[in-house]
Amino acid sequence: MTDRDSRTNASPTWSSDKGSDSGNGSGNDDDIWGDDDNVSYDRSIAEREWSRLHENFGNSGYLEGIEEGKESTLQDGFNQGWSEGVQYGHELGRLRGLISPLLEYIQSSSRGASNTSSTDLLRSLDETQQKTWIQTASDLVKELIELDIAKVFDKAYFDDGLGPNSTSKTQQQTTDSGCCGGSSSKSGNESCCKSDNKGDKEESAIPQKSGCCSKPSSASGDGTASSSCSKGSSCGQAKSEESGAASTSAWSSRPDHVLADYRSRTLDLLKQVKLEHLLESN
Amino acid sequence: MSQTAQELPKELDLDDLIHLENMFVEFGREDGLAAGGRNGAIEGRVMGCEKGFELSREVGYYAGCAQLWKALAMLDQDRITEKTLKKINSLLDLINSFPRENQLDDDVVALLDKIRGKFKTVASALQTSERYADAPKSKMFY
Repeated sequence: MTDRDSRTNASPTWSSDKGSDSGNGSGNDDDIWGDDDNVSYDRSIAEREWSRLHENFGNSGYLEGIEEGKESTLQDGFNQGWSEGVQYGHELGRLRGLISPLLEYIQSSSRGASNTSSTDLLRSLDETQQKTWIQTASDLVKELIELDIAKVFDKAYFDDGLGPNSTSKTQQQTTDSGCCGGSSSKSGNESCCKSDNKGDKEESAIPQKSGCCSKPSSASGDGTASSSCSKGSSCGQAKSEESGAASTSAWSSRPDHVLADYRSRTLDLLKQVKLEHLLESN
Repeated sequence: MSQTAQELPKELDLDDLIHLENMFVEFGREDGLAAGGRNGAIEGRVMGCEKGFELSREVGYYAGCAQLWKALAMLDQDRITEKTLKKINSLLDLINSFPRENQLDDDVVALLDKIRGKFKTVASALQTSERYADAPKSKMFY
């Protein structure tokens, strides 16, 4: 052993011998610096830095994306909801409009107005029945006045998108074909329903098996795709009770029930005064 | 840098490094787009449903009243005059023009006001106390 050798061995960090051996400066190679502590420290710093960049810029990008994505689907969603709301609102308002003035008319007449023809309306009823009719009508009107929209549309209505104007029929098909492959987690929805575009109108174009959930969609781009997806997300859950009973059960959503109930009560009242034709005169 | 040139062309490598931040933003943005799209569709739908429901409820009420009064006019010629019947019919026409679908250039509020005005005319002619009284509404929460 010469002095030089021992000196080389004694200074591990900066040994030029080791540096030249590796010939590789990629930084991943321990031999460059030859000191484990330094490298793993640097590396962990680098990793943390990477994550930090990833998170910070990723988050700000995410926020941007959310805003943009929301904007792109908001109007279409609004239009769809509008039609649905009008469909039920108009009829529910109309029912009140049919009974309330009728009640007023009957009551004003029975208070002994000049002409008797107005009381003819209840002529087929005896006195008790007349009283009942009046009470029933008053109750119905009151209920209709106080009817709260939240009682008509429940959350599930918007979840499945099984509204009457929406793609109720095709929606069943998507559920049947196992769209989203039974992955019920909503977070997986980026991949779901990437296939269709204006999902509401052109669902017939959906390739039930291939398009849906076939591959992760990278920024499906068209926001409306996601809009149908939000409805399609139910297909992950076993909505088989909706789809199973085929076309008719798509109508067993809450708004339809509520409306049907009020319509039948209105019809009862109208029948007794022989004005039932009004119910259909819309 | 020169070491990694063994694997990648030098320009590409440089690009990646310089645009690293943009890359992260883009990835985040893509995810956000999808999530936002879903949210927007639902949010819009709920909003549209509320608005459409409440507005059309009032219009529907006027429609029902008009239909009822029209029927009564047939049964009870004395109560409701010819002139009033005309008004009722024009109210019905107006109501039929209320949009079932939302179009951007529709001025729904103006139309509603017209309908309200017409209704008041008819109501006063009939001397009825019917009016569309709103019960306090709640909003839907999704």
